[in-house]
Amino acid sequence: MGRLSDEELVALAQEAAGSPPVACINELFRRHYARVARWCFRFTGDRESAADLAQEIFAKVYRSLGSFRGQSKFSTWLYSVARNECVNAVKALSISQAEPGDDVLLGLANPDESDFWFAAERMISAQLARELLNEALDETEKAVFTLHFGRNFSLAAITRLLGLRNASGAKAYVVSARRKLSKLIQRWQAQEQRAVGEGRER
Amino acid sequence: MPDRALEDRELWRQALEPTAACPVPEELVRVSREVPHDSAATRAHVEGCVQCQTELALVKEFQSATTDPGEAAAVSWITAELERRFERILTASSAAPVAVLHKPVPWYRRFDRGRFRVAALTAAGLLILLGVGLNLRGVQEPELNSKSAGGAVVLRSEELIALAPIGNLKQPPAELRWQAAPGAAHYLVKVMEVDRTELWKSESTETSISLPAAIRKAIVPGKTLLWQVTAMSADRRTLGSSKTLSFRLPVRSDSSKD
Repeated sequence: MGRLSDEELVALAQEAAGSPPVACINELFRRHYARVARWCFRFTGDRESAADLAQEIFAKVYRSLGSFRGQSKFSTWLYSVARNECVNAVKALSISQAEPGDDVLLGLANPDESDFWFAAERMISAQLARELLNEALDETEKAVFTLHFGRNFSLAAITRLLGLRNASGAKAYVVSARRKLSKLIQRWQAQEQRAVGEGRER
Repeated sequence: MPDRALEDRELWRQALEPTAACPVPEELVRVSREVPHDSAATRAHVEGCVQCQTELALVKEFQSATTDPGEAAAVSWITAELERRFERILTASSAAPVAVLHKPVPWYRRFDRGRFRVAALTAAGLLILLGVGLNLRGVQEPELNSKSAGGAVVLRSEELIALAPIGNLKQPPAELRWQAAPGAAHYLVKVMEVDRTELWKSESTETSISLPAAIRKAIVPGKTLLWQVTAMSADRRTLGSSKTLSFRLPVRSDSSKD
């Protein structure tokens, strides 16, 4: 059984729908325990919660094996399940809400700048914000920004998931990303005002 | 100020959440590795989508990451826990919410309040009475009848497991493989069309058998074939058969994998 690929093991389990061979499931899961354990530990930051989350992920995988179509590697499909469970956990428990330091990041510790962001929020659309993010940020900043603001992942979890080694982890990337975006939006705003001014003169 | 901060955050949440154009991770990985004509639009989307690029980075991290020395002990502990909880994973009931970042509440604490306490105590009392009653009846445990009268081994349905080939294959299989069955002296294998018309059959004393060239030629893309293995005793009695497995070579258009 050890010679079979992951996908062959899943197919074997699917053939025996209702009572898949336990040895086959055991072999499949055993190959991925460390991967999911590492992911969950990086997400939660403590081993007990990580074990509970990983257990839920494998239970979900077991319940959903029938829906695996073999159109991707099993590990990619497993990632989807793990990712969804993490997003659900964040939604259920709002773990990112009370993280110390977030208030500093949201206001950037500078009331004037916060006012500027508030104004920017009124002016730019989500579509434009997407384009600005893509244009201004490097790969890590994009990933950190997306996971923190788009998925509500905590900064500590993002630091661990992306393997960031710098002292302040994801927090530093959020700050640098917002500085870059701030400059870009200021430039964009100045151009808009210039265009409006030129229009009046005509 | 907090309200403004939240509104600010809302803008970025809207900008960064997946859109209808964002592919699922499985497709994302496939598109990132291939340049087929039919995925050009998806590829263009991914290149300009922060959310898709992040998703792709996470998939790669998930698939290829190695355990850091600082997390090795925790990962090893969690892995051991998962192995220990394997049975629980298989028997887990449907979609219970995950209590991440919270210590799980012991089951007995859930009954430690209000009307649950009364109901739990009543149920416990009834169970004790029922248990005592059953014990007093002196019912004997029935004998297990694990072997037939003649002493011949009969395999349970899961004891002879056909392993490969199964499902969609990348190339024609060279052999059929299965797990050894207790008491089997040799095995009969047969390959069939989907209507169970027999194409080929043979015997083996091993747990695999090579497919002859004539049968390999019959394995063409898009055609599904079936096969089954039967365990036989030394005196040629049937001990049990595996489930029938199917396999096929995908036609070119559906053969792509990430």
